[in-house]
Parts: sequence; C-alpha cells; structure tokens
Amino acid sequence: MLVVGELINGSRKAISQAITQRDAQTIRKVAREQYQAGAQLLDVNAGTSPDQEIDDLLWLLDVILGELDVPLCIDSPNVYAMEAGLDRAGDRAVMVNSITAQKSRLESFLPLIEAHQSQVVALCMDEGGVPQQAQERYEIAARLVKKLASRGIAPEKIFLDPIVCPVSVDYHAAQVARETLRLIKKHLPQAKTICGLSNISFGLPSRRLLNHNFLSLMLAEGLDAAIIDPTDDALMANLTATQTLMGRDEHCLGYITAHREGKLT
Amino acid sequence: MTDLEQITQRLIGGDIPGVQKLAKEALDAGIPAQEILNQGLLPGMNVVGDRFKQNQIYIPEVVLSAKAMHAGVELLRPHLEAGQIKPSATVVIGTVQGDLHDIGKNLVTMMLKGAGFEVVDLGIDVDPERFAEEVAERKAHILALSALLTTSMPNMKKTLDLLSERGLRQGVIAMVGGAPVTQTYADEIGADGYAQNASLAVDRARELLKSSTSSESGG
Ligand code: B12
Repeated sequence: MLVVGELINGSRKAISQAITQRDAQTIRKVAREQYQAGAQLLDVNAGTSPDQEIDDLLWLLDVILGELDVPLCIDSPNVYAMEAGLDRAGDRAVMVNSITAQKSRLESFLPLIEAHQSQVVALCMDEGGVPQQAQERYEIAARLVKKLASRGIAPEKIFLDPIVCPVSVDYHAAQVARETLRLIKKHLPQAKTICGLSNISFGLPSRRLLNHNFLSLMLAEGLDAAIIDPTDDALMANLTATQTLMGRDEHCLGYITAHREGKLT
Repeated sequence: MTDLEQITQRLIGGDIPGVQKLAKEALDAGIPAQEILNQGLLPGMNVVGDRFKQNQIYIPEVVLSAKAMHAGVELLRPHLEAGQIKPSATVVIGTVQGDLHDIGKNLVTMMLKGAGFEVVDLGIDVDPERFAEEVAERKAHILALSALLTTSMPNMKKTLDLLSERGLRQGVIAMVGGAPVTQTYADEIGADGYAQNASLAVDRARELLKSSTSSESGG
C-alpha cells in the first residue's frame, strides 16, 4: 500500500508557524522523519490564505526538493497554487490533491492534470456535497473516471477517495466509506483508491484506536493508498500486520523484517 | 425530584422516548408548556453544553440530547402557540458559497435548536443573494455563516456587504465561524460575533441578542 505522509500541512500549528517564520529547518526535519518512517510520497499543503498560498507553497516545495529525493503530492483547492506548484516541482510532483466532480473546479483542474500527466486524488462528491449513500458516491466516482478518461487520463492514475466523515456525527460513516470502496473495486477495478484516516475519529476519545482499526477495515476492502502520519509507529506496525494477514506479504518476510528492525513494538 | 427535573435528567441522558413520555405526562398534569420548556428542557441543554465545553461528554451524546430536546419541543409546540408565547429568536444559518463542508455547521444548528432557537438551515454552497432573501423573508434575528475553506471565507464578507447594500445589515446580528475563521477576521469583515465551537456559539448568540434588545429598549 502506498503511504502518503500527511504532516506537512499548514492547518497544523507547528507547520503554519514554520511557514510564517520561513523556518526551513523544521520543514526539512518533518519531511525527513516521514520519509524515514516509510512514507513513499509526501503531501504538501500550505493551507494559508489565498493571497499567501502560492508564495508559501513554493517556499515549502523548494525546501523539500532541496532536502530529499521523494515524490510529492500537491494539496490545494486553489487552481493557481496548484499550477505554480506543479511547475515548480516538475517531475517530482506526481500527485494532484484533489479534484471533486464540482463542474467549475473540475474544468479548471483538468488541463493541469492533462499537461503534467500526474496522478490525481478524486473525491466522491459534487455540487450537492457528499452523498449519504455509498451507491451515489460510487456513481460520482464512475463519472469522474469517465470524465478523466475523455482527457486521456488512465484509470490507474486516478485515486478515488470514498470520503471519510466522523463516526461521531454519523455512526454509519465508516461503513458507508467501506461500502463505497467495495463498489469502486467491483465496478472500476483499474482505478486506485485512497483515503485519509484521522477524520473518522473526530470528536471521540482515544482516536488512535479508531484510526488503526479503520485502516485495517479499509485495507481489507482493497484500499491502495492512505494519507496518514507515518511517524505513528503503532499505526505503521498495524499496517504491516494487516498486510501480512491479507496475504500480501510473501512468506511473512515483511512482517519478520519489520520485527528485526524493531518496528513492531 | 420533581417531574420537570426528571425531564432535565432524561434530556441530559439523551433519552428521546423518555423525554417525550415525561413531557406529555407533564402537559396532561396541567403544567404549562412554557414551564416545561424553561424548567425542564432548557436547563438540560445548558448542562449538556457545559459538559461538552469541558470535554466531559462527546459529540454523539450531544447529538442525542439535542434530538431529545427537539422531540420535546415538537411535543410542546402546539401548546406554546396556543398560549401565544413569543417565538424564540430566528436564526438563518448556512455554509457560504463555494464551500460544501457542513459537519460543523450542522452541529451549531443542532445546539442552537437545542437551546430553543428557531433555526432555518439553508444548507451548503449558499450564495449571498439567497442569504439576503432568507434574512428578509424570515425576519431573522441572527444570520450565522460557516466557512471551512480559506478560498470561501471572502464570501462571508460578500454576504455581509450585500446585506448592507440592501439595507438589511442593521436589522440582523451576523455571526461567523468555521475552523479557519478567527475573531480578527470577524472584526475585519464587520461581523457582530464569532465563536470557536458549537456550544460557545450558543453562548455568543444569547449574549448578542441580549445586548441588541437592551440597546433597543434603551433607545
Ligand atoms: C471533513 C472534511 C472534509 C469533508 C467534508 C464533509 C462534510 N460533509 O462536511 C470532505 C472530505 C468532503 C472535504 C472536502 C474538501 N476539503 Co475538507 N476538511 C475536512 C476536515 C478534515 C474536517 C472538517 C470538519 O468537519 N471538522 C469538524 C467540525 C465539527 O469542525 P468545524 O467545521 O471547525 O466546526 C466547528 C467550529 O468551527 C464552529 N463553527 C463552524 N461553523 C460555524 C458557524 C458559526 C456561525 C459559528 C459561530 C461557529 C461555527 O463550531 C463547529 C462545532 O464545534 C478539515 C480539516 C480540519 N482540521 O478542519 C478539512 C479541510 C477544511 N478541508 C480542506 C480542503 C482543502 C477540502 C477540499 C477543497 C479538498 C481538496 N484538498 O481539494 C474539499 C472542498 C470541497 C468544498 N468545495 O467544500 C482544507 C481547507 C484548507 C484551506 N486552506 O482552506 C482542510 C483544512 C484540510 C486541509 N488541511 O487541507 N473536507
């Protein structure tokens, strides 16, 4: 499974502070820690106000590109910031995070994705927001895949996000996400799937317990990628163990190696 | 424990059928609906709000209590109107244009309803025009705007500006909120109030209403 490191995000206090103070050291450290912990891709989100976002994003990208040879996932709702970011990062920017089926947004992002031939995170939502039912979310996914195909973007490049809402607000939320994933896997087998985890546990105590178990449930449905905190050792150990149980770890060698490296405790 | 205190306890426990049953019994026993509301239901919601603020209870518990509150109010409503009691303040709420986040807005809605406000929820991606129309039509006391995206926050300002243009701004208390919104931003766009979470939003709404009515009566 593809691990996308989520920690470089301007909505986190430490990061927004580092961004405003242009504290490259902190950003380098967070990037390196995630990489060493097993992130295969780093999400980069400046998360600042629109008039600042481009400058901040480019600064973040420069710092990270200068430090590590790791592919990046550029995370912004702002098409201008996305364009500037993709240009700056060149081949190193492999993923656009994200599009939805909202018409205006989709139309503005499509030319960028086409030009850069990047992978893209596509959220199963449209003008009407996030549908309550899995079937409706899946239908949006199907529409997105079709639309992207018409622009020459192969399904393998599309990471569909079934959307994770907090179970505290709707106790079926995890179930709906799983069901959506199941429908996508069944009817759009070539497309990839991705999701964030931490939102599932918003508003409840002992959040990590929920996050960890949710990851296992989603993996069991065939989740291809997750945007997570790779420096959460217990989460990564849980990921290793689940992969082993799913028959994705030949002769359990991944599990044994992780043990020898002290990663399972 | 009096009957009304029992209603309070059931409400705090999120016991929807319990609240309904006891409220109905209280009505049958001849207790005025207004009294059941003020001494039974509302104190319960206040306790729930406080406990939530202090992290003693969690969102699902608040949701259940708010539902119990709603069920109780629905039961009392016909009797309240028969008694010609002035309806509580009306709030028009929605997520601003370009923004589809509604989890926070829904919680604020629930808590406001729980606190006895009449809430008109316009949903998500609501344009300034629609807010202005609804404020005028509903004679809203409070307009509550939610935004979770820095790219949609400017639409809060647009909405308030349109209200000013239409001469509606003076007549309504404007509250703003959502994760990226701050008190500073609220001041900047000339909103009357900001709150960081749903139970503080209720406190703030009450304060603002109080100061607006006292300034009215003060001339
Ligand atoms: C859940 C979520 C989603 C869900 C929304 C589901 C739904 N039905 O709402 C989904 C997956 C659909 C989603 C989509 C997107 N999201 Co989103 N999302 C979030 C997330 C993780 C949590 C928001 C939430 O619900 N919190 C829980 C609630 C209870 O809290 P709250 O909303 O803050 O509300 C409380 C208070 O703020 C206050 N309050 C709220 N409203 C009001 C109103 C008034 C008047 C008052 C007084 C108080 C008040 O009371 C509430 C209760 O206590 C945040 C991250 C975060 N940490 O905030 C990102 C986040 C808001 N999303 C973000 C983004 C970018 C997006 C997307 C554009 C995706 C993308 N990257 O392309 C799309 C946007 C689509 C659109 N046009 O809106 C960014 C915004 C960044 C920015 N700079 O603007 C965030 C911060 C994540 C991030 N770090 O990148 N998202």
